[in-house]
Amino acid sequence: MLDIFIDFKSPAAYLALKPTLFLLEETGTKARFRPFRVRERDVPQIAKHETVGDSHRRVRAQSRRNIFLHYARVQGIEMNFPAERMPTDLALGALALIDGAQTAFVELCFAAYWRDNANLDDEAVVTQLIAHSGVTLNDDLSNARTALEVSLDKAEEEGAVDTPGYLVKEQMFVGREHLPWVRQLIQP
Amino acid sequence: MHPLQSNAPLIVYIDVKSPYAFIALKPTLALEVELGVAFDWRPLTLNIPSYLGSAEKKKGKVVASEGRSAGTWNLVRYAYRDARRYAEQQGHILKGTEKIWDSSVANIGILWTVENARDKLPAYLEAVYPPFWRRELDIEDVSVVEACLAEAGVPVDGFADYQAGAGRALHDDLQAAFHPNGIYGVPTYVFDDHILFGREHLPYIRWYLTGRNGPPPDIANAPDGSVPC
Repeated sequence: MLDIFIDFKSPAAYLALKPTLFLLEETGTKARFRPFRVRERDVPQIAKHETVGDSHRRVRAQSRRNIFLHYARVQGIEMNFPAERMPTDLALGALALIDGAQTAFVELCFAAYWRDNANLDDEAVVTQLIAHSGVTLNDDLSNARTALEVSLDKAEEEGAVDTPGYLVKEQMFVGREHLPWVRQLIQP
Repeated sequence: MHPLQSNAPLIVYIDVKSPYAFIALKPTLALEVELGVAFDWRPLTLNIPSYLGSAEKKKGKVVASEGRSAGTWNLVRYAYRDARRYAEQQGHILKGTEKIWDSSVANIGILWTVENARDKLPAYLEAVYPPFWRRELDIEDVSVVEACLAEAGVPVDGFADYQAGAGRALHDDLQAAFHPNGIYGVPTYVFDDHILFGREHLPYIRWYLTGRNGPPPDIANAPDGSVPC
């Protein structure tokens, strides 16, 4: 069993989906997607009086975005950064409540956020995604935010710091670049 | 020296005090050998307190910290754990540093080596990085860096003046030009119109530098420090 921490608004988690699903299928590994809320920041504007730290953060944010877009092209997937970052808490809470297979819901949520810039904190949007993915929740959607907070506490205890996080054999790996090592650990 | 321009097919920016630059050395040097070309290795001396806050440790305990949130600490701790496990897979020891070092002298040693004995650069990196990360080197001490140069077979005469004069000026000019040119961390790889931060891009870099045959690869790190296919 592989635990995979994701947030739908994380560009790194979105780019990890395809190679992660490929790995799971190829190795016949079962996985559990678990919510982990990340703080994604927009690329700061150049300030009139920038400190070195301000400048560093701005350049890093722009560079990260460029690299995400670069690999979206490499993977052949659509990636549209929303004009404003929107919370994804409700969809993440729903993820924590899913009984059984989660993949269809996860795929639909990522696509909704990164292709259509859908608001995954909106009840109507999330309800529709649940229905379209065919998943079943083990509790009412109104309890999703509470479920998310419980899940986040547990994730932090287990060492989650960012997404995508792969928890395998008590080791946490953050980022799809670690999939070769994750593969070694999950292969019998 | 323009930060984005070189006669070499690839510019590699590293810093002696970066654990991620340390574990990038093996696969990057391996790729250089595999391709049979000389990369343009350059120093980027990180100004860590400016963006990560500062910290000082004694006997493994944090005794001073400024500007670091709990989240930042968690990320820093994870980063060290992550670098450490890869370093161990490469046969190295990586101990967390007890303070944020000024690595500029050791980094100017990279410029010196490139200018005076380019073929000794791998030996110089080997003489500096592993012992520094075992906490055996005071890289702020010019005589210690000279000893590393000598161990690597690099001429030492003139280095003390160089690191205080022409080398320092070259180093400082380069540092000032990084942010305006979109560079902020190490290891950073620059080629054509690409600026890629992190060794996980080496599969793509290999693909790019070898004729771009087939579909481009995604990012990946190999546990053993090789370049994944």
